[in-house]
Amino acid sequence: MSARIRITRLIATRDLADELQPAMRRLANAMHGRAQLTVPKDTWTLHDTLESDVSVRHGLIVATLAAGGPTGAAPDGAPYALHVEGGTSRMRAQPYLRPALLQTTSADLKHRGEPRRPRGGR
Amino acid sequence: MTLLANSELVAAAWLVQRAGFTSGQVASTLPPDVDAWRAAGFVTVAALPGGLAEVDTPQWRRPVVQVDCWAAPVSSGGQRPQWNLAAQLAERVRAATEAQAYGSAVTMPTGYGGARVQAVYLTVEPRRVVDDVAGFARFTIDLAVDWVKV
Repeated sequence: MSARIRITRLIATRDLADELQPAMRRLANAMHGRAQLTVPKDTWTLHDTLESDVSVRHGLIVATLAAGGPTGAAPDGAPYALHVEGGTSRMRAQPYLRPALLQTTSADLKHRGEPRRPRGGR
Repeated sequence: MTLLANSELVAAAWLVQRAGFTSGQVASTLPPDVDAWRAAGFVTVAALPGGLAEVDTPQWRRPVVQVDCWAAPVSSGGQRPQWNLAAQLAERVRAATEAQAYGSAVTMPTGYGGARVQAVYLTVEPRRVVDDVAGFARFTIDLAVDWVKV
């Protein structure tokens, strides 16, 4: 089961969306980078499933940070992504998505830099 | 030497003293002896990395803690977890946030310094967590706990 955090803002016009989109992209990149730092890296698979995206549709602009889905670097995904984030009755939680969100500040809207490539490469 | 309080201990103390759980019903990990908590359920507390650190007032702690409310099946080997019990535990936490006395001290375990809880509030609604590996019912809550040591 994949895990996902969405930040959603209502937008009135397409022009406003175009104006907001770069800032939301920078915010998503900042959260993505923080999640990459904190995600458990026993095998790096979970790390490699981290994805961020910004989309505009139906009057909404949505920044998404997700983990667990299949990606190019981890084609089978990590179906345990949500279990790692929230823990189970037999395993303590090792949160990596919510901390990335909780550490958000207004400076993220000016964040420079892209998320690292898979397995810590640059 | 007096031990220093931390966010998980303060959150656990608040749950016992404000939400009405017993001290044996709240901990950082789920006890392996399920029969000991099968009837009343159990609450676990884990501080999330992050939260807000105040530069100007570092004494003011503002962590977010994950509170999990657990319920096992009525009998050992049972297949039906007690979802209503887990939901009730979660609602007790929420009700305690509505009726709280702001800035009230909580009693910490023996040997620890005191703490004053300024405010406690839910950052998201309680949500059901399905597919637990042991078949337990579970509701989870993210709880912001503003506190200072005294």
